[in-house]
Amino acid sequence: MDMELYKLTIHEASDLLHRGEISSRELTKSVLERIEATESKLHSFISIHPEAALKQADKADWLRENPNSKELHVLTGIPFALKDNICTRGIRTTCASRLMEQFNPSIDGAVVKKLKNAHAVLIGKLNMDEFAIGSSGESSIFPHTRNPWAADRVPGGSSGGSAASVAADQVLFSLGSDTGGSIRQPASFCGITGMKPSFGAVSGYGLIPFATSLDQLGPMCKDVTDCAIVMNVITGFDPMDRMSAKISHPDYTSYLKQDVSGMRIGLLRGWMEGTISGDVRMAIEKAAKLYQDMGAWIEEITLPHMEYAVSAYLLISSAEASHNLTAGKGMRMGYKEGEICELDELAVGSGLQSLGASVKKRILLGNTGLCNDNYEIYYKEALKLRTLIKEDFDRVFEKCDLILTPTNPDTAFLFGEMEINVIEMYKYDAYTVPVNLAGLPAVSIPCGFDSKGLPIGMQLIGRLYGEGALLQASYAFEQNTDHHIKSPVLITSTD
Amino acid sequence: MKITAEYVESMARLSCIRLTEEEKTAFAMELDMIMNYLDNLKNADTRGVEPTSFVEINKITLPDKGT
Repeated sequence: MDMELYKLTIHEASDLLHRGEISSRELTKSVLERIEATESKLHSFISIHPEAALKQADKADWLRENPNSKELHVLTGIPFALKDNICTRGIRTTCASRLMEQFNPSIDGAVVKKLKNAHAVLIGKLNMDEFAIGSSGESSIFPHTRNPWAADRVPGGSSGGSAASVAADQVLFSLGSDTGGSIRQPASFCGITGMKPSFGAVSGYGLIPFATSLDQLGPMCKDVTDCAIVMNVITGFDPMDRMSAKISHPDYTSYLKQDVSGMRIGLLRGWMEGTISGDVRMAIEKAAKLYQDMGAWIEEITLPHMEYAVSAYLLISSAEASHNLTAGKGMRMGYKEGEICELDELAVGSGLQSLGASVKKRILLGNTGLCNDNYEIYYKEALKLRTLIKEDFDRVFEKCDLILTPTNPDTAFLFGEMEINVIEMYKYDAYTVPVNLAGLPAVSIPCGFDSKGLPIGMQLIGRLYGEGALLQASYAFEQNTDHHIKSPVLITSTD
Repeated sequence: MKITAEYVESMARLSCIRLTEEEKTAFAMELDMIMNYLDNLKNADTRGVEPTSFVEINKITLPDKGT
């Protein structure tokens, strides 16, 4: 079949595979050729595994030729890639860090097992900020991923490679992890659909943690339908993850209907004034209007403690990161500096030396917030704010089904732009971090382009385990707009 | 609180991280800026508020204690 197969969505490719019009080998080869042609410009991947991928594709094709096979799934034979903080048995998993550069896991993460059981085809591991700490991809030790829409701009982070690879049609879908916006922000910067599920909805077994009480794995896709398909596979209770939620998950594709009549959508408007770009504000107002035209109720809401969310998030995530990164990891992994004689020297000369500057800073910040009197003044205060922020959401969800906000106050920034003032970069996460603090599900979907031609993302936030309503409202919006269909012309510059 | 290079050095030792002199100065400046920003927490009224470490994920299906 002569067409650009790599451009397909999961549901399109799956239909063609099902009807026998294409094979998974053809699809996988098309994707590998696309990567070959684009990767030197994009640097989405940390490792690519063509031979293993083709083998999996052949297995998928064999299964499809056996109509009685019980193992067939919508994802059978579909090429995908994983953020490189998800453990893959026998495949190097680096977290984009010198510390983990040679780490070869002996286990598959729970999500990897599920995707393997569905016979999806793993193409490779994706670039990211070191240990998922960052919002631009610039802290990776590997060549930095570029934004497919503009090579001089960041893809976002920390799941920058996951977003860029999907936006540039290098894979049909990817998985990312989201601690404070790390799925949604890069999805918005690269013009794709990214979903952060409710806390506990997806097992984090085999995910190398950043901040355990905030981390959540989720799908990054070309459209909402694909998101629902991947959600069906990766969600579910897992006794191996003590943060996993004991709930039954619905068939998420059953929510893909164009009906939002009577749905009550809270619009966070007051908070937008002065802090976000004109283009982004206009796109969100337009989205609200479209929802209204489709029969939804738009209600203005406030979240009074949102102004403290970034501070609370910084303290909590850094404290948890400092624990996760220093608790033994530096002893077991990475290179050791020089000769070590004393125990104290062993600590200081441990693998932690190989961490990059931004991770070191976050460890120091975490420990500063926890140290002596600071525990009461900063860390505990942050935990109390977390309670108040969660209660803000509870109040809104008494009268609303969903909340609409921009994903970020502006579109993708330039490489190096945020180096001077790191606070500005943290503020980019102002709309996404409250969601993690409250454990809620949220999605970022394309809702327009700014004057530079860069994609704008809008965020919908749902009730705890309310992914169904989120997908329904996202799908209805997507079916009435064409932002998600537009593809980037690789290697252009906005300046 | 004011973050100095000396403070960063002591915190680095506690965190098992060794820093160069340049890093100590640079990190002190940045951490100081961040701690200043974090001071906005002091404006929040948190009297009588319980801290939340984890969102209670199993609340929905697990029965109350005693059942």
